[in-house]
Amino acid sequence: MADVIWTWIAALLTLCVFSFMYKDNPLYKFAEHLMVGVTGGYLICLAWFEVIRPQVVNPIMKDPAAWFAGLQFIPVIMMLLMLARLGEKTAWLARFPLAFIVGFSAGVQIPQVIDAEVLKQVQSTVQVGFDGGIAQVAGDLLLVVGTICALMYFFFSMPRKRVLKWTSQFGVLVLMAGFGASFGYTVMARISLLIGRVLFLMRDWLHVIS
Amino acid sequence: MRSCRCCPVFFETHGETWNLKKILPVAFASLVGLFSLVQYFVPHPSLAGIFRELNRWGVFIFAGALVMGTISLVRHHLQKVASKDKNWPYSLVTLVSLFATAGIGLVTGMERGTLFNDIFVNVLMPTEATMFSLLAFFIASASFRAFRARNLEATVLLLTAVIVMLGRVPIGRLLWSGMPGVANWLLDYANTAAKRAIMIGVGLGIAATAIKVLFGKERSYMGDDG
Repeated sequence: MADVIWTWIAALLTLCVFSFMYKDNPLYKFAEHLMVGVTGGYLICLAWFEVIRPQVVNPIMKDPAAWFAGLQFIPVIMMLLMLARLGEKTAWLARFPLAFIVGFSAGVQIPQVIDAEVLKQVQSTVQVGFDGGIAQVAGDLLLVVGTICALMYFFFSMPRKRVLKWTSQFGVLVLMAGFGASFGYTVMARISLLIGRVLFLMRDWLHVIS
Repeated sequence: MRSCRCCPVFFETHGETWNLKKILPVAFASLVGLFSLVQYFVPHPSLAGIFRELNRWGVFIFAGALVMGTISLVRHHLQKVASKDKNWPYSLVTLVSLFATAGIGLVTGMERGTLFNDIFVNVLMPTEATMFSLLAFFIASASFRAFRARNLEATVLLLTAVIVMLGRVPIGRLLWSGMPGVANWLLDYANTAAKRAIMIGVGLGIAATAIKVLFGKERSYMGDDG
């Protein structure tokens, strides 16, 4: 019985959201606000069960001295400093945890990003095999020439004349082909989600199809 | 650079007024950033241990941000309800669902078979999935406007998008058996070439911004006053 009730709730909420295709209406607004509320509640539980309880409450209850000696209070203070943003006069204190996250990520990312997103990509581009069938050779050629030309398009320090003009124009075509492919792929992913929702309504709720 | 007469912690440099509320977070970010950068090049176990610990602290700040965001949301909707603002009943829906979900979750836990899990599976998941599926219609209507073959670039965009879409559904194979192969070729080579160029540019941009953070030149994370 509970399953039937939950299926009905899910189906009605699905229809509420689909009603937006007609226009913005109270049913859609209800579903939208309900989703925001449930997401908020979910995040509170996530913070409690994944971080606060296992990493703060339990260690304090188990051995407070060890917890204090291990400097575990520092991240807790930083966590609490995030809440300082809620007060007008204390808002500046929230800069410390943000500065920690931003600074730490910046330091970590410099070597990692240069390695993974620059050097490895350049390496993969210049190390193509040019072997296999004609489609693969043409693809490899497009990969090398296309990447270089697309990079040329982002080179704004010189006037676009002669070689730079032609290479950047070809680079735009490569970028457009890439955007088109990504767009088509994204559309199909959304269509797949839509099919999933329609299947749910037809199969699980209405039992029209098996 | 000159100090302020009344208070030594205020000073001006390049026409900008600095105080400890600004200096300390910037210095903190630089210090932590330099440490995490240096430890990458110094493979000493003690540095690796400190790095792991600092990395773990990020989770605490993330949890704090979640709680802060939720409190901010509650405050916003409480104000709307209290002032009987336009659409205030919807704010009430948000508040009731938030407290109910949080309350149930904190009492029952998040495991499978609990009421909290039922709410997650039957309320949150279908609503989110349907919202994202709605984008299919909006993308379709947007593509009608954007995909006019006005010039060569737009034609290439249109053709690749149509080929990839047709190559992913059975009707594409029915129209031409080579369609899935062409779609895959476009995704494997043309798409990779474009993405690779963008990725290299983005990578260099991230590295440059990170260096600016370490030197205190990039301070937008501190808010309006940064």
